[in-house]
Amino acid sequence: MKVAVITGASRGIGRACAIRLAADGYTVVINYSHSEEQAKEVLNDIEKSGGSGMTCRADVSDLKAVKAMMREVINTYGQIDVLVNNAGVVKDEYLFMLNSDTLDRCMDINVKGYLYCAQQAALKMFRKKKGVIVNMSSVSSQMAIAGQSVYSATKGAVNSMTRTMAKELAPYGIRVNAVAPGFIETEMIDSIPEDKREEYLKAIPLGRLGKAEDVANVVSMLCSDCCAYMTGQTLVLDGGLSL
Amino acid sequence: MNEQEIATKIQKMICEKLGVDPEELDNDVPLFDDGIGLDSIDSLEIIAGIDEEFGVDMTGVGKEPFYNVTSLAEYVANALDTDK
Repeated sequence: MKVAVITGASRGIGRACAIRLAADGYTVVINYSHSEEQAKEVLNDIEKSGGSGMTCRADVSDLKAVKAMMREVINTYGQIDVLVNNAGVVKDEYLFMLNSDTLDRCMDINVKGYLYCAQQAALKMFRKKKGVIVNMSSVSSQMAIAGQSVYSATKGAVNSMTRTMAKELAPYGIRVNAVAPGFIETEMIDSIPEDKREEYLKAIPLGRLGKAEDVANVVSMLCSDCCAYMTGQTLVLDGGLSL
Repeated sequence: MNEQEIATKIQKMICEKLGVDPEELDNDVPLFDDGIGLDSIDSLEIIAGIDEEFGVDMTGVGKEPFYNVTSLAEYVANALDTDK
């Protein structure tokens, strides 16, 4: 048995990752913060397809809650093989409109949350001297998009922490990589005005928005032995948008 | 489990995981720097070992409890007492 913990897995990219990793044979832990019903639906879908797992509520920006979640996983399954750090928030605000609450919330979830989850999951992966961490970044970390100074800063931090964690954990058999999706059809992108969406669509050489399953496929690959020699990298998955 | 029993388990764990000679590892000898010469990377093994053996999380607790086996055992014993 292999166990994968996916944060923010009740919807969007996290949901797709949970379903894909379950199809790959992982027992999945579907973390959520508020959307209990949606998390249960994800688990139901997985179980209907012959997979298994559990839902687990934890606010990733709360270290105590993260510790409790990882402890619960260990008490239930005895191991953690994969962590997909996915839970995140997007709060687009132009610089002059930026307020400290937005900044704090984005930093707490997109940066501190990733570090807390990686720390606690890696601690459990140490037991087998094997594990994989995949951090969800964004094309915004490499491409300037007006209104995303905070979001891009947090995702830039994700890329940097990915490299550093990878170096720190490599001697213990733990690989750390990141995926930087572009515009993916999820609830997050619904907040973008229609005219802006059209504009972005025109800028994507592959001519379509990405699907959550496109991202899940890459996460699946990074978790597999196909990528056994890859660590510290950020894979951009944006249909060519950033080219 | 009393503090001495915890110390004995920690001592055994450090010797096994970090290849330290048991003869060198007195409970009061400093683990880092001028002691038996462990480094900060070795502390990861100690944190992971204590988490696995006792279920006590020592991430982010600072350097003081890592001074020697006695201080580690004291920290673990207090944490186990608090959990009761």
